[in-house]
Amino acid sequence: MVDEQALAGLKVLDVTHYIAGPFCTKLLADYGADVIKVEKPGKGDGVRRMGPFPGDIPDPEKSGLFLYLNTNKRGITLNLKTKTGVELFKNLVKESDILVENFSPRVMPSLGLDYQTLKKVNPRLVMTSISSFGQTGPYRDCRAAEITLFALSGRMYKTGDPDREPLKYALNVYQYYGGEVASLATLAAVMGRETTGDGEYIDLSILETILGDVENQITWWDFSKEKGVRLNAKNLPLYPWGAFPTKDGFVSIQGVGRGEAWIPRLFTMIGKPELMEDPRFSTPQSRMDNIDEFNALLYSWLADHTKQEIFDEADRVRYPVAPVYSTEELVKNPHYQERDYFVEIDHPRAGKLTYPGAPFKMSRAGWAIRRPAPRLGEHNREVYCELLGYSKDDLVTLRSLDVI
Amino acid sequence: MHKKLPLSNVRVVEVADAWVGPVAGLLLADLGAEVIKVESPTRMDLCRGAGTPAWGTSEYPDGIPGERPWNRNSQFITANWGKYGVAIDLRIPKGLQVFKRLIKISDVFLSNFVTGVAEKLGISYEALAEVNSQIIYLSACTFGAIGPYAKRVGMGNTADAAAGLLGLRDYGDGDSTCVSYSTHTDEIGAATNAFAILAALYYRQKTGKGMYIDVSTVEASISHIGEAVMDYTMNHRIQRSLGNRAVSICPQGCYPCQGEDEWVTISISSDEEWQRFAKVMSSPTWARDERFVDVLGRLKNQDELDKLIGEWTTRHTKYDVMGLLQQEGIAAGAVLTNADVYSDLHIKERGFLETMDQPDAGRHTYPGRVWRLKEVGAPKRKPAPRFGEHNNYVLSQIIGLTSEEILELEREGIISSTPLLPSLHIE
Repeated sequence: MVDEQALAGLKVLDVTHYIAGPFCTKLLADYGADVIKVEKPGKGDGVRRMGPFPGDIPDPEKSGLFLYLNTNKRGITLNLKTKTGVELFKNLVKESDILVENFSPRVMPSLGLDYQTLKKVNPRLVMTSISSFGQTGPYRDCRAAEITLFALSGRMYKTGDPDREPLKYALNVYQYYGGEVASLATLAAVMGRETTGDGEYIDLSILETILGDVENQITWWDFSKEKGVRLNAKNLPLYPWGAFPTKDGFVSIQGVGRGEAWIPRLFTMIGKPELMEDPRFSTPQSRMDNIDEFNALLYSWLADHTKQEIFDEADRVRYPVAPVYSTEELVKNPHYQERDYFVEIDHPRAGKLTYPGAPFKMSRAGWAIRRPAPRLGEHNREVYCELLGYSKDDLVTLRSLDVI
Repeated sequence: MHKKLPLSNVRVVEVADAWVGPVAGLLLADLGAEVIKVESPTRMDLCRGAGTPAWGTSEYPDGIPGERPWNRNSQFITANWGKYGVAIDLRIPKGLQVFKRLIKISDVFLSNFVTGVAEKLGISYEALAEVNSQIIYLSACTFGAIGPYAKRVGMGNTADAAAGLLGLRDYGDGDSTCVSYSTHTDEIGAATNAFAILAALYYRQKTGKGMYIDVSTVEASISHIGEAVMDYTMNHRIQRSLGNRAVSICPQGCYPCQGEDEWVTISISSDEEWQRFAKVMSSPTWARDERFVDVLGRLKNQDELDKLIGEWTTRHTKYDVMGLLQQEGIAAGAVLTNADVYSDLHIKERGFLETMDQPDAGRHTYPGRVWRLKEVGAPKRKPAPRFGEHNNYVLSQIIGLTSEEILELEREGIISSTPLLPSLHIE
């Protein structure tokens, strides 16, 4: 890498845990920021106890989620429930451009580490608080898992089979999404500070990022009293839309978009271009009237071909269709391999493993792995001694007092 | 008096369609950037929609497309407020020249063409860097700019499949067909685009150098299911969907409530929470059953557990269940409809929804900004541009064309404020 990374020089104090906060700071770290991750002495980030683990054997230094979310960060331990710990923390704030936290909203104020206090310590500080419901409001202190927020956003009601209960999205995708939105808002605030010299406080509610998700279309209620429905191929038959079974799995067909303009491509893809002239199928209404025959043609062709064959045929006619990939198919895929999307990272305890890599590629100064995820307290000496000027003896004392 | 928003000195030129590009432009506009959306007289952003699409007209006010439906579509408006809108035909040399004059005085170019199209139009990174060597040029598409699938077309639903997200979303029976489509990868791509541009702007501020950014929305999205990838690379285990369940949280699910199609989600993450949950249900005998006392037992007997919980929830409204459980510190969330969201007390008190006027669509209430910048505040947003609405303003005030030059472009159909094709994209 000839250029320094894009965010080199940006100093981030990271007291986040689990997924949303750490993903926010991971993005900053992976593109060059110097991120110091603060963990509880002894226990560390709670996500260290979450799998996957190699061989399903729990080990706080080998959690796949922790290893992935905390690349490029230096790790220290600090007990914020002690007065000395809070003073040390403020010293670190003084040296930082950015502070990110994702505790429940009561926590930072109860520790005496609210923004108004920290602003006095460092007037240029950009502080980002990520939470489920935001720092204010009737739900502020409510408990939430990923599924809880998805439900309250209005999006879940519209997801799944119309004849069954609503369904959540994959894994923890909105924890990641909330973290990513926090990350971009934080960077913007840093940009703003370059002009004004002022710091900023960012209140990020993960629920609000889902509410504001354009796919959510809550606005249809305001526009036309449409409360939303769960759509799938069953109740929206006119344009093949969604997942369809094939010989060896499923493909996803993008139905909406160019609508009628795509129907000729569909007929060509299934080897029957002449159907464009067929009165049974040549207009939307006639297709609705003959929907069973139309579906029979489509489904039988799909069932006769593999995902890859369909993907290739679709490409020939420029019709958006893609295979439904499993994680194995992602890792082994020639396209992502040629792009070097997956990368191998070595970790002193977990060893060499393959990780997802750069979410985007810059032509210069881009993504790079400088160090793997930190072991608990790995950089205590580097940070407390070299950065803050404490001696090795001081560290011993601090450890004996349970401060670090 | 509002302070200036952070990106007030940044000008973005957006030549993008639908969501992945335009929502990135929206996020940047919400941060104060001057975003100029460039459509074409003969090709509008596809989200401006057709007058009467096959799936119904919910996205139009009162379901009425109206005389100028392209200015009244909520799907377009919610992805494009805060921007200036021009319509210039880049395929005509004079149009391309005007466009390049705009690029010369801009900071960012944001696009979501499939690989190869920008080159054909004469607006590749190389072409634009010639005009403005410091330009930050972002190109986003499903598969990215290089690799065997780079030229393959894709949109949100197909990226959803190609990124592994769709494969992790079914009822736990491996049947992908029963789930709704999702274009969540568009949102992930949009946020990633905005983040990338901000990182590039930060870099350019330090060094004076622009750059080219290649975004594959699939790659940006795989990054959001990292734990599943790690499970494969660590254990060669191919993770499948667990439906509404989770690996070590039990019970977790979506349960029926009083009324039609009414539901609540419940997530119990410890044995202590299980005890409190049992108390809320007035400790029915089955809740004290040995099989359910610890999480391993609950996981093993999950089907029966879900059935029993459902029998309890079905006697209550979704709000009651949520209230009772949250009082005991248990994560319960009512499954809200669009209508419920508009009347939700928390959302109201947060002031999250924003009422805005848009000349052709009228007054409506929309989701607001998805972050709070507390010090700088949140000035009211500009409405989404009507088609070609700011042709005159951008061409004369920003680019510096004379009124004669602008008239000539109009006469030749190189710019327009009405679509120059009689019929719209979709029937």
